[in-house]
Amino acid sequence: MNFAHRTLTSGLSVLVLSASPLLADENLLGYTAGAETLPKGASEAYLWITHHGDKRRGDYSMQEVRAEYEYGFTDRLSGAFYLNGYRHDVNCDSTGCAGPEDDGEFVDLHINKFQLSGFSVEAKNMLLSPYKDDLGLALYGEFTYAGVDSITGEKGTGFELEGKIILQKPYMDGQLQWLNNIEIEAESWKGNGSDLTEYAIAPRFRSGLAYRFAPNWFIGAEGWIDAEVLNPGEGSWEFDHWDVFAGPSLHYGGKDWWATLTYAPQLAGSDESDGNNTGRHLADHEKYEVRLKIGYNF
Amino acid sequence: MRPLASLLMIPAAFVVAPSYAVEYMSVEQAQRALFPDAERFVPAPVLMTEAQRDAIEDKAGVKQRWEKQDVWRAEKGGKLLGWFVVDNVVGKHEFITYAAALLPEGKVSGVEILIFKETHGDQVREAGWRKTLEGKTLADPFKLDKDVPNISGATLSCRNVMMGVKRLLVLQQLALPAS
Repeated sequence: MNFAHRTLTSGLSVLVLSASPLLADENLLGYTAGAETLPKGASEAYLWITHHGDKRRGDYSMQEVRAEYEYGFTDRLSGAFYLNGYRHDVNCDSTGCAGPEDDGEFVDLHINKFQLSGFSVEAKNMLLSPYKDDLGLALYGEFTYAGVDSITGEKGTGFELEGKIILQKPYMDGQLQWLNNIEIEAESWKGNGSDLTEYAIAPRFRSGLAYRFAPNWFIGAEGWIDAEVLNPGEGSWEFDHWDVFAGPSLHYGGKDWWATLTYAPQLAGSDESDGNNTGRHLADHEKYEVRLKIGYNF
Repeated sequence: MRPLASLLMIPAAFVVAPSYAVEYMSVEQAQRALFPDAERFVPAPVLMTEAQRDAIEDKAGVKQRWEKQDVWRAEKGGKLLGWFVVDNVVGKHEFITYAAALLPEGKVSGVEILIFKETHGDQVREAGWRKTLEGKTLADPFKLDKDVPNISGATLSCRNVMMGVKRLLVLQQLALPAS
């Protein structure tokens, strides 16, 4: 074997440990989005499954399922359509699954089924490329129609608008990525049989790091803080809660597909009632979330 | 917790997914393509000290990751035609292996992609994009969409190959003789 061959062989031996490509809108983290968009004419299909586990009492398990199709209209503008559904496996007794025992929330709630909830449409516009401009910047908007309450599984009619400013800073030639999302969500909900329409506004900040520790593999950590003010339908706005989640993330990128798994426990939050002092908000959120996202490029 | 256990099983399957590698051109083929007049290629690997690597990073703007750079002298009639260098740069998931031909006066005469595995953006393998790097010297800006075109969906690959070539020009200036 001559030197030239040995050199290439040693290069190949590094590469053979790995193997794969670059997918432009690949999600390196489960929750915090990156600034890149799909190239013009490219398509990507996603499947999201987010498990929400455990409230203060009772048995609470919910899986949010989203099937998404995304298309690159231009090199900087992409759009997506989602179908959304929820599987609930919930057993809350007479004290409810959250809130104080003498004035609980989700009292006598028993549900075990999957329901299709509705759809979402999204648009994402990359203003600056993380690799060409050193700091990536994108604007993101999403509209959702929902026919199912994500927490209780009850039927109704809801609308949601979500906006994000996405920042992405690559380091070490792109081996390390720092992602930040500044988000705001506005939503309405009217349960079937109710005369009142609730409104809520929730600002949120997400941040996360992803590091490629081996070919194809990224390890990361991300977290977010959000807050919610709501109008329960009686005309006045009030602060409802805040919460903080954070946890590790693992990402694999293959030739045509990728997958990301994130575990995020709730680290802190405002108690959903003065009667509790556990430091977590367990009415609108749960003790932990686990998200698996799979993407396929074609 | 059953749903959580099910979720964790799926990525476990990915860990054992088979890997692959595609070689588009061997080192020997790239040598013949980039220096067709050369009569022989003499191995001249460069071993760099930490201070040299820091100097390359300072001047090139990108890190010199390797202590050893594989370099060959392309010669004809005992005269130096140029330097043939094999290099790796970060792709989104993998290293991209390419070869650059550098003329003694510090100018790029050609680039060949040896191993590339990105789904989008294999245009960096095409002659049209690689040709945009020909003639580059350290006096050029090396800026995407300024003097080198960008390829959407492969911006990281374009940037890192482009900056890799610039780094090799700096390495030549700091560590290789003029003749």
